[in-house]
Amino acid sequence: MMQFEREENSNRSGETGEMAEARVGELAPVVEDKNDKLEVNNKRASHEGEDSRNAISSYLYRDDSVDTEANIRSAQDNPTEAACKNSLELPCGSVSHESTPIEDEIRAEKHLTTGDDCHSIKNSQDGEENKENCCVAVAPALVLTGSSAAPEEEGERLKRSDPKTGADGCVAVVFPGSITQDACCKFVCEILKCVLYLRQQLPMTYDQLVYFQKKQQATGPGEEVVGGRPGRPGGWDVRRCQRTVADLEEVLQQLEVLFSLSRVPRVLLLLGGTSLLPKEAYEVNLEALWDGPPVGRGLRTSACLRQLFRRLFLADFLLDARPVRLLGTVVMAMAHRDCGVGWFRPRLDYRVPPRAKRRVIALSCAPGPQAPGPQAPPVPPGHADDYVWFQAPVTIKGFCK
Amino acid sequence: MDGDKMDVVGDLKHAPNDISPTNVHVEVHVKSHSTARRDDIKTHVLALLNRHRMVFGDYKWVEFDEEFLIKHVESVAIVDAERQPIDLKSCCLSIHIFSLNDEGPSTLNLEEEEDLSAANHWLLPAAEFHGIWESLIYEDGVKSQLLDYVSTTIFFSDKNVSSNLISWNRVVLLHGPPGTGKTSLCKALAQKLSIRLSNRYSYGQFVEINSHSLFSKWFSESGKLVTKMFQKIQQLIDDKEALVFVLIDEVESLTAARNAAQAGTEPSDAIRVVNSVLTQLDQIKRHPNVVILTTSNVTEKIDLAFVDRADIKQYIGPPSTEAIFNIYHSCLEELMKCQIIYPRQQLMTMFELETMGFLESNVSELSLSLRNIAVKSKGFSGRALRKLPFLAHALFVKTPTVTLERFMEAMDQAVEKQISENALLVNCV
Repeated sequence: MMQFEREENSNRSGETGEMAEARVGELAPVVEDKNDKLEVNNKRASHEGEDSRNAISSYLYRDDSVDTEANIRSAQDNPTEAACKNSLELPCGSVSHESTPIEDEIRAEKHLTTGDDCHSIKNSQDGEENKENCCVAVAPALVLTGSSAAPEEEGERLKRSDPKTGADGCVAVVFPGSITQDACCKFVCEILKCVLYLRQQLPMTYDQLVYFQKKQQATGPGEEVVGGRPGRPGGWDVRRCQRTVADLEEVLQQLEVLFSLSRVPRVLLLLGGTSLLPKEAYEVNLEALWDGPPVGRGLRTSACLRQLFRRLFLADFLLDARPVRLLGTVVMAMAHRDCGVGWFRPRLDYRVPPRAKRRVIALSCAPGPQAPGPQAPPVPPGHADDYVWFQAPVTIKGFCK
Repeated sequence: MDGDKMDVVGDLKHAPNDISPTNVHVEVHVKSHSTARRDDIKTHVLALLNRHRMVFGDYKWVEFDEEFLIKHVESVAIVDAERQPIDLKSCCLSIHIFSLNDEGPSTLNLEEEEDLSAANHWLLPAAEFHGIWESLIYEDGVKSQLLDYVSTTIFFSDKNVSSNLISWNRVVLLHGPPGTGKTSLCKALAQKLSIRLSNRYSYGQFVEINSHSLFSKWFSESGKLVTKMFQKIQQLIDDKEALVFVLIDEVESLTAARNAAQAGTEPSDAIRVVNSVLTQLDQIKRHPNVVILTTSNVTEKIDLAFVDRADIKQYIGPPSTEAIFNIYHSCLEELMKCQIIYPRQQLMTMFELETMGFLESNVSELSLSLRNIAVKSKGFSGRALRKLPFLAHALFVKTPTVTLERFMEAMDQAVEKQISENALLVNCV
């Protein structure tokens, strides 16, 4: 969580100096205070599971609202940004004009995104920072809607009011500008991590797991093997944990490779069952991103990620109260037939399971302020049937304590 | 009818109107990492077949001189052809292009908290089942009859034949002594059909039911478990793109004769299971894309109502001398390929021996002695035959490499040992 807050701060470091200063001044005590509580909560989470997930979320929720309040205030201070705000439409057109806290929050968020746009050209060269944006705490932050009834209702309303949400369980996210291929990859990876955590296949978020594992390795293998049995510090099976983390890491790496080789219009995350009859299926649809303004100077990844996940929470996307068994997760991605990827296995005959419960995240982008005129959309090379499904040869097996 | 039926079975390149063009099936095994278009592969394979016009019976190309084929294709095989020269120009070529799924079986669970899986589930064509069809050697016609049976069911469904007037139940029952390859035949048949029908159904699914998992510890729950099982299968069938094979191995455990229960030796729950299976089978048969394969060792224990529902009740007996010879032949070929038997020597096939009139000569000597071993092992089950070369090596060879002559002696000894062991076993009983 610490990183999250810091990231928030660092994101805005490009804004006017005194504004940033003011924000830091406002946030500093809050951050300090909450950090401790959150750590305690995280520890509890690993022991208690479901209940403490909600506990975390309530903290996070408060977190966010404080944060956005500050944002709104700062936004009002800055007239140019306020103008930006007015010129932008919300992704969901028919939200009423009475001002609820949530809407303000969204607007503030939206506005912040554009605020970021203004300097994103500057920052986009700064690839290092973008990589830093790995959104460490985004996943736990997602639980926020579960904590209070009001945002949930709001989410429902948003879902219904959205013109793109045709089928049940489809969430459309419209970014206010172009999205780079790297960013697409980042979105998919974060969604994968998030799905695994929220669908209870991992006892804590991936990044936390990696952190814990590193810490464990640092403390040395002394306690690990006692009498041939794998050690169980913290109450869970170290070996399974290592394997899952290693598998997931490999999938994430290979996804990056795939995205660098080819455009990826669709990604499927299949939980349980077989690839043809999964228990749960999640689809990330990136097709519409191609029709957007030309790729090159994209929006900031971190800002988009925040927008994406906020939208997912508001739409109550991943919160299914039913407990899930431990399942295997298979990742499928559509890519160009001749992209030459070696790790993924082609599945030429594969079709998306028609009967499974499938939820779709449809990403698209509206022409943002940086691309005002209508420009020729980049036509995807070749025909549509040049894109075939590839399956990751690794199944990520869930595990718990 | 023939022509129509062929249309069902494969996509055809019709030859100019000959009197009766023979239909030749060509199976093209595409490498699993290949992403080439099926059309491109087909053109290249047709070009290859054009260059090799005349084939004698089954033939398999594994080495190619063309870049494209080397890169994308594992093998091109002419399969299930008759033993006679075939002029590919004058034949209908059905080209079946497939690649194997190397995922292992996944499990289907009926109840969330239940660890025991109710069924294993494969995606066809599966790497695990590859080659079984060729390894199964039966009297002429058994395998082709089964293929024709399924083709006809699909043909009838296509023509919308009213099932009230002409009914078929989509149930095949294979019975016979243990070790004759009934279960393997079911798997191989499913694999074969999923390849043959690949242009019609985009994939095949193979569900092997664990019958014992359908019996509940709660009285009167077993019937419901069966229904649940079939509901799962129904989900698979609902996908019209899939051809679903359901294997119920040792079917007598699910369909024990109900009249035995009258004697009071069976709990009434077992009767419910049988009833449930029968009614579910009746429901499932209206779907065109499902085939139910069952096997059994003890047919007299099976409920008559079930036997009556089986369209084909094929007896699978112990292999004939010729089949035994072929099994040994394939075993020895494999050992020579793995260089356990070294140096490689040519063994003649039974067909070649026959054409020579079993005349003894330098060329046929080894093959004739193999035939003698085959005659001696008459009465062994297929499973026993397949393990015999292994036993021969373990008990009588004991060296890393061995000549073919020495190995055949060892096999001879192993056969004798088996016979004496069997005799002892009988005496004990």
